[in-house]
Amino acid sequence: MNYFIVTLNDQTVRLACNNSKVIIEALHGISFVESSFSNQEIEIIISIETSDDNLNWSINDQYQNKKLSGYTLGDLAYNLSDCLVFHFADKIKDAFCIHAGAVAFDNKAFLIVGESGAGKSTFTAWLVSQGATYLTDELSIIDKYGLVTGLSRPIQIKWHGTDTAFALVDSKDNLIPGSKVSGIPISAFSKKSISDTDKQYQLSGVIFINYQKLADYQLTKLSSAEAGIKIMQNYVNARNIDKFGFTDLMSLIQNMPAYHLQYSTFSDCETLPEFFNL
Amino acid sequence: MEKHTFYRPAENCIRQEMGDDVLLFNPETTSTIHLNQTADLIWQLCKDNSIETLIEGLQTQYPDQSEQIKKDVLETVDSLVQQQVLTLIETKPS
Repeated sequence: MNYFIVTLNDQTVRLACNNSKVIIEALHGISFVESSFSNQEIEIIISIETSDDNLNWSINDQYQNKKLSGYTLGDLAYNLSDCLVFHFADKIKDAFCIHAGAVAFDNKAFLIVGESGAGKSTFTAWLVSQGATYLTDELSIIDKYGLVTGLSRPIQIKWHGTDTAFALVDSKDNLIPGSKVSGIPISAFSKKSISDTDKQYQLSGVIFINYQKLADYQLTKLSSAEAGIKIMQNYVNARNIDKFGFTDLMSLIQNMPAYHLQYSTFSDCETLPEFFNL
Repeated sequence: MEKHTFYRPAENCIRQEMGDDVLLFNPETTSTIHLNQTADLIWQLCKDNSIETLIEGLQTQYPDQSEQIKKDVLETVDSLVQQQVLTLIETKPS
């Protein structure tokens, strides 16, 4: 067995896997260290096993009492990162966890929020292809001062978005293909920039996206109340925080530029990177 | 005989002004609702006033909109009840 400790925002999750190469590929971009601790010394929260030919995998998430299995690296990476998202969102008690993508331009961070299927990950991939620093496509963590970090897993693209998203990358060699979800590691972009753990990114805006086939491009400024209510719908660890963190989170959002973006093609969005530079 | 209908704002709701509007977080339902200024005023006045008193007070201030005020207040109260931030507690004769 090989052992790993995944870290995010001072929280850790312990993994065990019989194949370190597979797990290193699946965790690409996520902050982790290999560890020499043994099963007897520290409780393993997530165990991963792969078959000898690496074609099949299974995950046993003891924290959620959940077992998963599949047969592609892409699906393993997706399901494993999904388990990690659950763990961190459940454990983090000193910062706001928002179900949102996040990128940064210089040290300014922007949240990318949208309902399931709205295109968060593909839009995040597009912004990275335009030179943004990648923070996360799924779980953004904001401290009370508005500093943003995120779970920097490979950008996860559902099967119906792969044609669009894969066209954005410069090197297809590193893609992590799956049957339902495929991963784009940040190394696939020539303008790649992944968040530096020592660098602090200040929350500077929120964009609520909605991809719709054939829709007209619309970028609409939202009131702070409209932005606040949408953020609350994606705020996943409220019960961990004193008084649900409501007042503090809304105070951060209150003075933040917030927009709703409807689009159907990225060619409509070409001026957006300038907008993000504010 | 006139009746008086009392509603109670849901306990422990956290109210946050956001620009001109208000957001109300209800810990019981873990839901957040968006109140415009009128809905916010009604939600707050319900704490110490019956609906009839509230309507009468507003009608005194805006006599030319008397019927509209009654309709708006009742609709708003109905919406706030549906969103679980107001609860009917009693109806009693004055």
